[in-house]
Parts: sequence; C-alpha cells; structure tokens
Amino acid sequence: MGKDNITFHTVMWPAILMGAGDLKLPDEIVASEFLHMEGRKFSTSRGQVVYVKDVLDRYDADALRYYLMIAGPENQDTDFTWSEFIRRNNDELVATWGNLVHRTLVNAHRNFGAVPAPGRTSPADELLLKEIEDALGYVADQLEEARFQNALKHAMAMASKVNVYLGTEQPWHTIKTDRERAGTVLYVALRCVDNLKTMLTPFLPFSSQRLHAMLGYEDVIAPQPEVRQFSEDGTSHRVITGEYEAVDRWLPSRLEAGRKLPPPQALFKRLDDLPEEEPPASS
Amino acid sequence: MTDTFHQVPERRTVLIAPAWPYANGPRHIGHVVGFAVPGDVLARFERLRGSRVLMASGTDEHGTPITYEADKNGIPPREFADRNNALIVDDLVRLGMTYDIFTRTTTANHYRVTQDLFLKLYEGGYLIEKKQLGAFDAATGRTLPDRYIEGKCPICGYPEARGDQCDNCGNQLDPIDLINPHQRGSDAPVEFRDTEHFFFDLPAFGEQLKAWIEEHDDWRPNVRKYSLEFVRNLKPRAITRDLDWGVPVPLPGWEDNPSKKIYVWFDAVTRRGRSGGRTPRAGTTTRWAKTTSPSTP
Ligand SMILES: [Zn+2]
Repeated sequence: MGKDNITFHTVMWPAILMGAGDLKLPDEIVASEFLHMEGRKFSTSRGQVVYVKDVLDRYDADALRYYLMIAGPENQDTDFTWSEFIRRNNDELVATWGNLVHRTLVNAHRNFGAVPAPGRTSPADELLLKEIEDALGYVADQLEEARFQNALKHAMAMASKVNVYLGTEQPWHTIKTDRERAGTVLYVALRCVDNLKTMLTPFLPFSSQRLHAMLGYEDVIAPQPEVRQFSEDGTSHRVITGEYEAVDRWLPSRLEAGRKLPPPQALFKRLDDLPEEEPPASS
Repeated sequence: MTDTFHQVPERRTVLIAPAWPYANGPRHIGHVVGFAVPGDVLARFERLRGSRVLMASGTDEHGTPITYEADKNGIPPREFADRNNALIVDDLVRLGMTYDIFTRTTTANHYRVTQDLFLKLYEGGYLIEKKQLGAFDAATGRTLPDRYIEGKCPICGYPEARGDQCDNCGNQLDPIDLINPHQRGSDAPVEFRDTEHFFFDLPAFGEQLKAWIEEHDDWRPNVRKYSLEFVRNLKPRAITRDLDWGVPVPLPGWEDNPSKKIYVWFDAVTRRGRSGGRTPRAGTTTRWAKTTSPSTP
C-alpha cells in the first residue's frame, strides 16, 4: 500500500496537473518503505500496533521523533522494537548528545557562570571547530536530498567527536591548574554544542529549544504548532497552524564570551531497560 | 554576525505536501513515520535556513471505509470523521508537527477546489462518461467496494473468498464471479447493475508522464522504477462513484443526485497540491514528504 501511494504522487497527481494545465509539477518525491512491529507488519485489526498517543503519554516527543528518524524505514523496511527504542534513547540521546551538553554546560556554568573568554586556541581546538562548522554544510546537503538518516547520523557522530575532545582535554581537571586553558576548551565545546543544536533542531525541536535557552539565547528557534478554530461559510472547524518565522539561523555559532548561562537542566530522560508495565504495544 | 550591508538573497519558497492521513482512527507510529515526521524535519530545516515554507495537509475524510466504520458504530459519517479528526490533530500537535495549515477534506473550500479541478479536466476533454457494472447494497442502494463482498470462490470453492481476491488460492477475482455473493459479515444480498460514471483518461498522458519521470534522475531509485513500471500500463480510472458521502459532481443532472459523488482518490489527491485556497507560485520548489502510511484508500 505504501508503494501504491507513490503512484498518486508520481503519476495520478501529475497527470491531473497536466490535464488542468496550469500548475507546476512536483520536483521531489520522498517515499519510504514500511515500518514493522517486532518483526510483523503493523495491523490495527490484529492489535499489532503502537499508537502515537500511547507513546507520548509515557515518553517525550523528541525520543519518538529521534527513533523514527534514525531507525525508520527510509530506504528499506525496518522493525520497531521497544528494546531498540530504549537502547537508542539511552545510548545515543542520553549518553552521547545529552551527556555532551551536560558536561559542557555544567562545567561552564559552575566555573564561569557565563560563556568563558577563550585564550590562545590550539591546532586541535581549531580543527574541531572547523569540523563541526563544516558539518552544518554536510547536514544541510543531506537534508536537501531528504537523506534524513545520513544527516542525523552525521550530527550524532560529530557529538561523539566533541565528547572525545572533552575526554582528552578534561577541563574539569585543568580548571584547578590552568583556568585559562579550561576556559578555552569549554568555549570551544560550547561553540560546537551550539552548532550541533542547529543541526539537531529539525529532528529534536523540543529539547533543542530548551538547550537554546540554556545557552543564554532568548528567542525561539523551534516554534510549536497550535490548534485554532477556523470559520468558513458559516461553519467552523479546528485547524493546526502556527507562527513560524523564516530565520537565517543555519550559520556557524558566534556565541560571544561573557554571555550569561542559566543553570543547566538535563535534556533527556534515561529509560528503564524493561518497563515495569506492559509497553503500549497492543490493545 | 549579520552584516548590515549584506544583501539578503531572495527567499526561496518551499511547499511541503505530506500525505493526508485517512480519518479512520488515531495514528500509529507506522503512519507518522511516513507522512508526518520527515515532512516536519524538512519544514523546520528550510525555515531555519531562511526559506519561506508552506506545509499543508489535513485529514482525508471521504470514502467507503469511513461510511462502513460509521455504520458499524451506528453514527453518521461526519460524526465518525469529526471524532477521528480530533484524535489525529492531537497526535500531530503533541509530536510538534509545524503545519502552516492542517485542515480537512470536508470543508467548503475543499469542495470548491475539487469541483474546480474536476471541471477543468471535463472541459479539457479528459473525462470519459461510460457505463460499468457496479455492486450495490440492495437495501440502501449504496455502492459496495470489492473487498466488502464475500462469497464462494469459483476456482477453489473456498466459502469466504473476497470480491477482489481469494485468500485461500490467491487468485484475483471480480465480485461478479463469486458464487452466492453477499456482504462481508452478514447475509445481506448484493445487487449488480449498470451504473454511469466518469473516467479520467490517464492513457492520454502516458508519453508525457514517462518523459517527465525519466527526466527525474534525482528521485530515489525505488520511486522512479516503480513509477515507470506503472506508466507502462495505464487504464482510464473511474473518477466518480455511487456514494452518498463525498464531494458532489458539479455537472447538470449529477449535481443533485444524492448517490453520485466524486471518487475519494481524486478528492484526496486534489489536496496534495493545493491547500487553503493557496497554490504554489511559479519558481516554487515542491517537496513531497511521503509515505508509508497505508492511508489512501
Ligand atoms: Zn479460491
């Protein structure tokens, strides 16, 4: 059925447009394969189904968005399993990206209360800054081609890289002996976090907006939709809409030294390996 | 830092047209992984880099599966659709789907747009009127889709073969071939009679479609291959049906007929390019963030 839908976009609708004669044909068709449930096809009639509502009653929207985008059926059928959902949340969102944000912000906040002023940067600092800035271009190219998994995996790989950098530089130790060097390392890490935040905002809008505020910004980078009542021809119905401005934000971070940092909060929740209750897998 | 003298490039306009979810129940994650989340990722990305975005969609609320389920629940189709529209809207808002407009196919605006497009095709000579044999519920006069008809398989004798195929021997069937055809889940009889309908002359666009698809070497290989195979064997496609729940056919003699409506596939497909009365402008990039959702009937 998913593949049958393709022809609505590539054949039926274009033919109608050709027949009507005045509309532009679509440029790009993005289609994906099927998502399966624990090895079987989703089926409402067999109760083999996971409802969005049930997931969101228990977990954050970003955890679901992340899983669907990184493990979804972009190029081939994939299988949804609860153990993979939990593993990806814990190992990737919490342990990689969340941990990077946490270590960077906690150390910067605790020791400086603001974005520290960098001293002289090392070649390793410059290399990392450049690599993460270049990732902005790479991720944009991938998204342009609707290669979501490449985009997301690259951003996460870059987050791992910054984690390795922090592990090597250990600013939480350096701070005791060389405050300026620790400040430089944290400044570099903050800039990287700010850039990674930009790349991850389309995928993880809720946590990215919170991170944006933790970096001391006050504006909105990840607006959210709202429900409004819309009247037309004497009747009224609910619509989803919102104020989403086009902004020029896909640019390298220019986080200034001295910007005050509020106390950081955890971005993601670690999930129990085995939920106590039956997961909302079926009804 | 933004430079005051930096010339702001003309903003790109991007139309994102995700599939319209079918209003037959709340969404499961197999639905939203196809029609919703990838579209929202693209919309957010494009806005972040300064594009003007229009992401438009809505619930698809016509079609026999809706009337069938509504009947089963003992409520009118509109009430059934209202209920499911509300559930789907909640799911999508909670997921953070930044639609510029997420509407419904049961709005007056949608009726107008669908009928306008129907008339354009009619005036262009692309709609062919002809008779076909239809299956009806003898009591209500309502049309019965193939898969809602059951009977004995003429090939293997399996007693519960469906009008479109036999699940026992796997053969494709036509409802008229079934022995003792009756409605799914009951003994209610099926009536076969001639019925007048409009067909969209799809084969007239065969060459043009083939050329257009071949031009697009940027599409995913699976999409392109499947589409080219499909275009090789085009048939005229019914664009009206015997239904009481749907968009009326905007022609004299048809308009006021309560049991003739525009077929839901046309009604639904119409939405994908036009929403809230807005149309893509010239120079617009159109993206179709699609789809695993088994939502289009
Ligand atoms: Zn059979």
